[in-house]
Amino acid sequence: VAPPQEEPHGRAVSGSERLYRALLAAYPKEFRRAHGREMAQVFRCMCREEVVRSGRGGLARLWVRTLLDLLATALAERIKQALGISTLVGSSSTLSQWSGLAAAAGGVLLIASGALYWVNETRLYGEVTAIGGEAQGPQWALGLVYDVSYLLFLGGLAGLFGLLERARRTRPRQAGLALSLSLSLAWCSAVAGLVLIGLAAAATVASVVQLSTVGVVTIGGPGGIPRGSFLDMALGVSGWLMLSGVPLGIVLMSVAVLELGLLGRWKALPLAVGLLMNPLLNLFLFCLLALVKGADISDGDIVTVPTAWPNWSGFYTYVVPNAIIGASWVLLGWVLWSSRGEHRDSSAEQASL
Amino acid sequence: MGGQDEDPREFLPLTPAVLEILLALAEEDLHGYAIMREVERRTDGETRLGPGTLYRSVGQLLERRWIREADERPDPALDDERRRYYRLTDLGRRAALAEVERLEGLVRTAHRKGLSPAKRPRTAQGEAS
Repeated sequence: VAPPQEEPHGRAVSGSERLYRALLAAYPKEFRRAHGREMAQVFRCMCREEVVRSGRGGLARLWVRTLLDLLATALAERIKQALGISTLVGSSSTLSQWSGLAAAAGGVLLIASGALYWVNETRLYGEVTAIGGEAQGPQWALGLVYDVSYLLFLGGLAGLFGLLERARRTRPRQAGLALSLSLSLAWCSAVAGLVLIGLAAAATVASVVQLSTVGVVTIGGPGGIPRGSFLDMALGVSGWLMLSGVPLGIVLMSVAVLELGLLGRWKALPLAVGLLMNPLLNLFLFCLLALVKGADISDGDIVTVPTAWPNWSGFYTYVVPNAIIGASWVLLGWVLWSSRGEHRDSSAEQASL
Repeated sequence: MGGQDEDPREFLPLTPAVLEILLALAEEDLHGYAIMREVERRTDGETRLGPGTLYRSVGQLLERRWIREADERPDPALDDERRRYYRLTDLGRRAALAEVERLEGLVRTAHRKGLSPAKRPRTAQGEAS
């Protein structure tokens, strides 16, 4: 009986297949389970064909191509799995559209509140609020916390923007890198934000500063708006709208992200926390400021300092940051609000061709 | 997801790999390796799908229900029974059609603007003179 004829380069082919099977570990478990066996089978067929056609040189070239393919697709699948992104995202929803409107309204309020606060303090009252007491703590830390706070907020916003922009365009390949970068930024924001909130809260509790006194801090002085007047109340309402509108917008955005299936529940949470951190941190910052300056805000250490109109330092403190953040919100809202209309337009355009 | 009411145009433009796979399955059910060979043959070897790209795209198409695993096999006796055959669904066919329409629209626009391969030599001469 003649011995069975060996495949040409049979050992090279079977060795390649074994190695490829081992390398499939680079893919997520679910992907391997769904396609791993077939991929190995296909690779074996490719090896056989290449060996017959071009010998060992062809096999080497096939390996180079396959390794590049494996690296790119395994990385993409890992990112997709880590972020919980679904490939089913293809449409914007009514919810995301209306949350876009909420975001735009929140942005306008934020811009308006910055301008109102500046005008109110420096023009109408002719003085700015400050906290008395002697400086005892590291002053640079306050500035750092303020700056980081805004940066984190913008980082989280970038993450949300990247996610929703992806849903709008539905071009996973082109949006892949931008999405990954913005989400990484958002995750860093969320983690750093949680740490900062924790530190600020701990410092507040340690100094036994009464949080409730923050709400009754008043701004007064000669030439100001009389307490209890219509304008005074309107300014107060606008301030509260800003304070509640921005977090509400953030929450709505997060719901839209969940509803669109862009992120799973537990992965959307850090993103929302990262964004909410800024409004929350601003609340704690007042108490932190009192702590650093050694003031007791419950015992009359709130002071007012006369100032001239226009106070440009106040302009850069209140108006500019709010305008930047508010403009981002308006932009985000516009993208969401117009997404459905754009889809209708593109559909009509396609139909007319 | 994946119902008849779904508009596949929301997913346009398709990636080249996805469109190639949909085109390969337009006429008959094929298994993974056959899809790969068909794409290579049709493009004269210019497009070669790696196993990762192929099955990543197949996974997306299955998830969107643009393709499904075929119940029947061409001839079980002549084929490896472990192979899975894939079939284009109606939704997948509509998606491929929508992409082809989109590309046709682009080509028409290009022609209107004078970007036509047939006119290339004349345009170049005109510019030179």
